[in-house]
Amino acid sequence: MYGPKPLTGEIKKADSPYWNPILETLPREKLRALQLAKFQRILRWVWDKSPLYRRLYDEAGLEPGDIKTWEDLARVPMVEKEHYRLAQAKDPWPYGDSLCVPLEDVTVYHQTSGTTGQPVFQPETWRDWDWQSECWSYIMWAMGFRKTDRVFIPFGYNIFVAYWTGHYAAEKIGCEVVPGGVLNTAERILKMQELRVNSFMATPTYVLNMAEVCKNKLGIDPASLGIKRILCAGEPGASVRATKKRIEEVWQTNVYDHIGATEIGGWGYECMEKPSGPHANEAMFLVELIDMETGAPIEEPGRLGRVVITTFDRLAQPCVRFDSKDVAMWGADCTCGRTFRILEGGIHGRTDHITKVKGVLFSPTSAEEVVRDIPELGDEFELVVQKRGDADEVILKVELLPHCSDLEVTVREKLARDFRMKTNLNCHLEFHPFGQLPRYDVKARRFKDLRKDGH
Amino acid sequence: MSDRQSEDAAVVQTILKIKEEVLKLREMAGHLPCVDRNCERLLSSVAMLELDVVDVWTLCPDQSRESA
Amino acid sequence: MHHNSPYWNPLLETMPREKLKDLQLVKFQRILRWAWEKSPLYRRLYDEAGLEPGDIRTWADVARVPTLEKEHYRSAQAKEPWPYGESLCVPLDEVTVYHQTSGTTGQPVYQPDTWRDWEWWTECWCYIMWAMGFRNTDRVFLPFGYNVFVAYWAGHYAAEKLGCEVVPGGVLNTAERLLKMQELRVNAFMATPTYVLGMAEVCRNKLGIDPLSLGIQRILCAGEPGASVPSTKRRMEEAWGADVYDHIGATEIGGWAYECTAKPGGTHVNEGMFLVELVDLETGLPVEEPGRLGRIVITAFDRLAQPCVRFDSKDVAMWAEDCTCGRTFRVLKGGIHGRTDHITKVKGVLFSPTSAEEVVRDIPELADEFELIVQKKGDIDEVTLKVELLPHCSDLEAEVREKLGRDFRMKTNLNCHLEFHAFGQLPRYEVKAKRFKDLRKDNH
Repeated sequence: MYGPKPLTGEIKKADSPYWNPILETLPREKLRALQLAKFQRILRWVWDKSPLYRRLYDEAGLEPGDIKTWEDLARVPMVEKEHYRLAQAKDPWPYGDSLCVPLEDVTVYHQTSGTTGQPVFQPETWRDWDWQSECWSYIMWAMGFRKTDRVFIPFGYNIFVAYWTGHYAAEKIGCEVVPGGVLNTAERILKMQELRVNSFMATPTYVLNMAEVCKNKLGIDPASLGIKRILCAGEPGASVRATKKRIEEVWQTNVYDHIGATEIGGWGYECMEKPSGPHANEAMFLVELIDMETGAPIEEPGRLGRVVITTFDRLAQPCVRFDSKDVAMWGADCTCGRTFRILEGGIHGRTDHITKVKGVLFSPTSAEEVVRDIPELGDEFELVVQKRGDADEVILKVELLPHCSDLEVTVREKLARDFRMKTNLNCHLEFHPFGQLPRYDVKARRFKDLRKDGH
Repeated sequence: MSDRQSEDAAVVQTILKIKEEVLKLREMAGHLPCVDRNCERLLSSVAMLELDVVDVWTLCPDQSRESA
Repeated sequence: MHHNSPYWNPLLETMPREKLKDLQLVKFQRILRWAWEKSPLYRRLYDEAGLEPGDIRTWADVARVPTLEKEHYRSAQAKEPWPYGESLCVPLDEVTVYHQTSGTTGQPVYQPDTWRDWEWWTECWCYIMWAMGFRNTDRVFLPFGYNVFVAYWAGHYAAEKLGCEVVPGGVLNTAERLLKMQELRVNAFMATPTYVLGMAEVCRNKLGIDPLSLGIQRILCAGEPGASVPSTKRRMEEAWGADVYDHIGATEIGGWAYECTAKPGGTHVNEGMFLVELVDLETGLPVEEPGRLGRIVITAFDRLAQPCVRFDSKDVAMWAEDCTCGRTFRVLKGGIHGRTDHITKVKGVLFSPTSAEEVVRDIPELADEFELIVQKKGDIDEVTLKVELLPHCSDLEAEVREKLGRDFRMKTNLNCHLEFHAFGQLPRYEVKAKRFKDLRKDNH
């Protein structure tokens, strides 16, 4: 009468660990062939439809038909945020020359935060939005989300894409979705407790905040909430081993990292094997690591490079060889069986944060790893790089937990030693009283490079 | 049946055929989660077409039909 | 091609009445059987009445089916499985969408929906929004905090289904929302009447921007009565230079009524998806003719996870004459007139608070806010109407007082005590207003 009945009686259970077993375990050679064909397809699409890309490629003397091999790919000019900004200053408002579809086909609106300048407006057709949900379904299924889960979304649903896709993908998977907009943190936790949710998604900073509010304001042990899995997105952290460990211990749960961006989509995801970092969804995205100095492609694991991404199937405002300004490195293959490669440690930082300090390549997530690995230290810290005369100086500010305030001497020694071993650098350590360092609600800004301001 | 009625009948049959194809797809390949869940979506969309168009035809069949 | 039709579904919306009634009866039988088979709540209710689905064959039989109210859901939901208990008609893992009522009148009612149910919600709102002129060329702003109350969630999904461009305005405060609406050149939005007027005030007084300049073409009002009160509608339309349309819906029911572009002075009932019965406030007998107030009892034919079959919505309305738009879906004249516990006899006369709203908002010298109090003075009911003159009209109190007293009397057949308060002194509400207080109940 209502639910459609099976035709022949037997329905096979969809209990694969992969959302799409076909693509996620596709042999590398076939995957590469697929990627090249899809790259050519999206390249032709943008060249046909977008004045922004047409101009860019005309200036480079390039036509889609010129790109026949992987070597040819390196000739395709990259785009960055600034390209979108300039293109969007034109008609039709507000998407301008980057729009590849008629304006009335745009259904979903988001934008970037505008902290680094004029925001980038991000249009999606309905098909694009379904593609977004599909990509996040790869992500969430790999983390174990199933329709038996009740998922809480503690986010203020607004014009930043943030967890909108997580909401829609959770629906697609069939989870029960509880939208936690408007409520403050304490109210959210009480609602999670009332409804017996078993999973949620948030930035690592907010996940730790929630635990603190839960313990200190509500007097509830976060572990008692029965959370089975947490999806972290929005900032690095869940791939920093010590941060993941802190979150998992306080919530007694599994924490998985995700990598995405408004201009790109949800392109990286950790699986339940918890390898050294997230998988790149190589069927939906071309992820290239480029040497930060030479610009040459990096294929081998262990070497940091800047992340350049092509989204194969996003049509309203695609990104083709978009310089994400993030830095990462490949890792060893995962045991989960996916042929999608691993980015070891996830995103190590922004290109303008990964910097040479005293001639040594330094990424702020290494400070995070060191600080959070020491249980006597609070979650918050601050890292400052400045010039003292001619030399670079690194200052690491930390807080001892209140009940550990008499352990400063031993912690100081361990911290300095761990930092040196991790980064090959010495740093000045400042111990601050608990609660004195800045707190962040959702996304943290713990790294400050003051050398730039001095120029 | 008049021309109008055969058009309506064709519309109804097409919707029911889509439903049947989606059910078949789910049985063939529903062990792939992406197929299973996307079929679930398709079936919900088809259910709306049933409410909007098919119900009238199947629940209240009669000889003469007038529609806008 | 179809985009030229004024009806989302020409087939159902212009179906001849007889055929529509036939369809409704069959769909009623279908959902009754579903609820009886799947839900211990309904099974018990019907067992106690000695009723089985097969017994319901005629419209007279339908009127015998026991009605349901919020309290039934509350008791059923106190049982397993948490939190839906015995009102749930599907396996728990089929539930995808969670909402709840606000809990102001007691324990909140939890509302589960399967994905198909949520698709149905979206579909119902497509009937609504298409009738108001929303098309894929619109850019729609949603100035609402996306939370556990269903509010505009279905409006968001339906706007997407229609192909509008949807801008989610959660988190931002009112001024920020207005600036975003201006920046992105949106041409439509949805809000409660209280908030629509509130936004206009912030726009003018805080931002120094004329709301007319924002180029809004249409506003969907939902969440509280007001858009079907002619003077309130007029105030909103004048402030925004837009067409304002009313909508009626509820968490437990769905989006079940909508105004069309013909503006018939009320809202069409989606009779393809809902059975809307008006029953006499005293006798409980069906009210079919236009012009007589009745309480609304609703059945949602196609909502499966937690259906409502003959749900007493505790709202009061009346039928109107047919609309010129061609829809055979009947019109509720003046939309919802109020809650049953607000529609009350005062000095033996049936009185609904929306009549006060109509009178107050029809006088341009009066501000948007007002308050209406009914209390006992000895044996006699007394009505007090509190209003505010706009600041630049403060010297007009004498004439306004006379007009207001007269208009109120003509509209309601009652005299009232008038209190003029300084502008800004009466309570303000952000989203939903509570302007009516019946103090007689507190004394019992």
